Parts: sequence; C-alpha cells; structure tokens
Amino acid sequence: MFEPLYTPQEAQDRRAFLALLWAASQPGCWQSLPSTAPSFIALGQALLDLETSFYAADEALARQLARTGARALPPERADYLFFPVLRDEHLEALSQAQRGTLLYPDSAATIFIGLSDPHDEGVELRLTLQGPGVNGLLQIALRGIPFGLWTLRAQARYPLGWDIYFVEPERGQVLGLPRSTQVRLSEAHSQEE
Amino acid sequence: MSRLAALAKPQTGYSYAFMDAFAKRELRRRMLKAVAIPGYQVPYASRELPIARGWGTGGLQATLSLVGPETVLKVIDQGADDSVNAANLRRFITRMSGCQTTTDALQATIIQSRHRIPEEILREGQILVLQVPDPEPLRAVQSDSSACHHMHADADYGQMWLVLYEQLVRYKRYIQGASYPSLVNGRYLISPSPIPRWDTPKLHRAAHLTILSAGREKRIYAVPPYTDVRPLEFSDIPFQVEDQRTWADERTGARYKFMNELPQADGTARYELSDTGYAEKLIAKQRGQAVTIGRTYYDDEGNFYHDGYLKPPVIPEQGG
Repeated sequence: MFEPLYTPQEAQDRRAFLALLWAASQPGCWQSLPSTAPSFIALGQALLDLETSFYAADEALARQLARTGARALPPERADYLFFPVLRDEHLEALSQAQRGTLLYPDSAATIFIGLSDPHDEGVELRLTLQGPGVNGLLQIALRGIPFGLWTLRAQARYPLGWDIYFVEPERGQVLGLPRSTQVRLSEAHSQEE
Repeated sequence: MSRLAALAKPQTGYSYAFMDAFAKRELRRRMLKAVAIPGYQVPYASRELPIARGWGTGGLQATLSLVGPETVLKVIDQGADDSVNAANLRRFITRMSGCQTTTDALQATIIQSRHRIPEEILREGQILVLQVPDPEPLRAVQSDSSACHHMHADADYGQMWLVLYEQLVRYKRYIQGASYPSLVNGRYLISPSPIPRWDTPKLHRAAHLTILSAGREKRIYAVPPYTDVRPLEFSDIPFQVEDQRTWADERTGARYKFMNELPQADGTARYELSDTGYAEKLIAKQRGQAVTIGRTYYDDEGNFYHDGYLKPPVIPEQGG
C-alpha cells in the first residue's frame, strides 16, 4: 500500500498553513514559513483560490496572486489584504477593510502586513499582548509599522475586527495578531536613541 | 519487498490526505477563523468522505487538512485506541498520508478523539481534534438554528441559565452529563462535544490547541491554547465533575481517572480505565518496563492541576 504523493506544492501549502495556524494560536510568536517560495506567494497559494478575493497594495504581487484564480477586489470587499509594506499612504485603503458583523464575525478581512528589513531604521513599537493563546502577558517589539494601524485596529470591538499577520519576508517568518488579542502599546521610541 | 516498492509508482488516484487541494484550502481558511474567534462556530463545506456523516467526518476532515508525513497520530474513541471507529479512522488517515501512529498521548502530535480527552496533560504544539455530533449548545432551548445564530451574536444565553436553574429546582444539581455548555474566552457558549464533565475543565487554559469539528452539521470551532473555558455554573452552586472517588481500575488499581463501569451479573460492577493508552502504560510500568508516564490533569488524590478551578460541592437547601 503506497500513500498518495506528498507533492512539493502540497508540502509548501501545508507548511504555510501550519505556520499561520500556530501564529493565530500563539499570538506574538514568530513561526517559520516554507522557504520554497517568497513568503507572500507561499501565503497566497496556501489560502487563495477561485472561491476567495484579495487586495494587494503592490502591482507585482497582485499579478502573482491573481494566478491562484482569486478575484482582485477593492479593499472594502476583499477577504484577504496584502500589504508588502505598510506606510501612512496605505492606511486609507486598510481602513476600509471589512471588520465582520456580529452575525458573521468570520466575514472580517484577514490582513498580511510585511515588515521592513529588521535592520532598517524606523520607529520601534513595544506591544504587550494578552488574550487567547498568550500565557499571561507577552511583550514583543515590532519595527516599521505606522502608528495609525493601532488606532484603526482599536476601532473594532471583539468579536469583530481584523486577523492580522505580520510577515518578515527576509527571514521567512510570520507573527499572528488575531482579533482576540488585546494589545497595549507600552512605549514608542526610535532606533537612534 | 524493497525491490517491489522501488518498482511501484506513487499512487496518483487520490490527492495527498484524500481531500483535494480546494477542499483542504477551504477548511484551512475556516480553521484559521475558528482559532481567531474562539468558540464561534464557523460554517464550512464538509466534503464527502468514504465514511458516512455522523461517524467522525468532521474530525476526520480537520485531521486530513493538518496531517503530514512527519505527523504522529493517535485516534481514540471513548478513550479506547482499539475500538472499531478509531481503528478504521486511523488506518484510513495513515493510508492517505503515510503518517506514524501511536497510542501514547505524550508522543502524538495530532490526537483525534471521539468524546474523551486523554488523562495525561497535553503540551504546547499538540493538536486535539474532537469529533462533534451536535455543535449547537442552544439546541435544547431553541430548535431554530438561525435563531441560535442570533442568540450567539447577542451573547444572549439567558435561557441556558434558566435550564440550569430548573435542574437545580428539580434535582438539586446540574444534571447535564456530557457536552456540558461552557463559555469560551468570556464570549461564546460552546458544546465541548460529548466529552464527560470530567474532561471539560481540561480545556481551560490548556497548553494544546483544540479543534472541534462537526461534519454533518458543517461547523468548525476551536479553543486556542491558554484560553478561558468556564462551564456554566451559578456562583453559589459550583459545577462538579463525575464523582468516581470509590472506583478503582481493576487491572492497575489506579484511581481518580475517568472509568468505564462494567456491570456484572450479580449486580455489582467492575471498573476499568477509559483511557486505554494510559492504562497500557500503567500496566507496562507495573511489569517493570521502561515507560514515560506524564503528569495527569487529576493527581492521585483527585486534585485538578489548576488550583481552585474546581470547587467543593454545594447542595442547594430544601425549599430554598
């Protein structure tokens, strides 16, 4: 008896999914994405197909994600939003993303945000996380995200809101911040200090 | 053997892990939502499988979308690794994925279970997949599933408290046995699947991830690690687990674990551990074999591992 073939694509999709599953289950902990494809492509291929829709803030990425068969839609209608980098000019598009309804909180958007190079200069934010998946309190530091993201995220009250995944394409890692996680911004300072 | 294996072509008639890529992607998307909204029942497509709905297809689909060649799988049915349902599911999953199997809860990476949680404490990184026949905890008070959906949206669980109150008035205790309704993360009421009350506290702030999947009802929900799970109880009449303190396993003498009661012809009863994987290890240890027995949720004096979570029983006063 020989089991069906575990194809490279199958392996990549499963590894990317497991990274997301553990990212959502253990908010604030980095998980490894498969190294067989660029991070955003691996994530797109693991999740997107004809039944889904996406918005990508980057032209080249949008073209590649469209190959999955998923429909490109404006940010207010898309299920999955991809921001390879998030700058202040993207916040307008992000603010329109669906936050779900009380009857169908699962209709809220899932958002992937690329973090710039960790060695890049930029404002570092220290976050204290609490909630499901976090044993007590967890402190993490993230660099290169506009402060406006946190204001927008705080506008939705649980169980509504976005499930956010931060992606570090350089290191091939993903960190989850599902809507169930309570975030407190401890302090903000720039790297030059 | 090895030469024949070398000549044989890989099986191409089925997708890896049986389900096709579309089906797996869909279920995986839903699973991520389920983890992000603990306790919320996410609808999913629930595909056809070579097993009839109601025989664990929900759990099976969840397992098939998680499983890989490096997975170590344990499948249990009412605590037993060797019952027909568990054995068939295990064989099917292995044939379709090439994963390893075990009966040891500590070695498994995925545990698919029908109605029990193992006695040994599960750790971070393990996934418990529970098969769910009826995901709707409000079914008894509201038969219209759309209305139930509204009640969940409003967190309107008043009728459940009324049910508990009526039980106390009539029987002086909560009479719900399995699937004891529990509040997850302070927001959504779930049926923890028909696990005994004994197992319900094990979901509270557990280190492992629990996925609950109902194939016939097409809903999936989850309890992430370190998430509050509180059985419904009035503050002055606490929730109780099954009282089996006088029962001891006939083979190992173990106590304060969940037991099967075996009625005898003379009216007495014998008792055996429900968790066969755990019983196997206890017996091996008594025979002097080297086994690793993990810490259990309930210690040998019956104390639950989260101090203060289970409270001493209170019987409501007559006519109170």
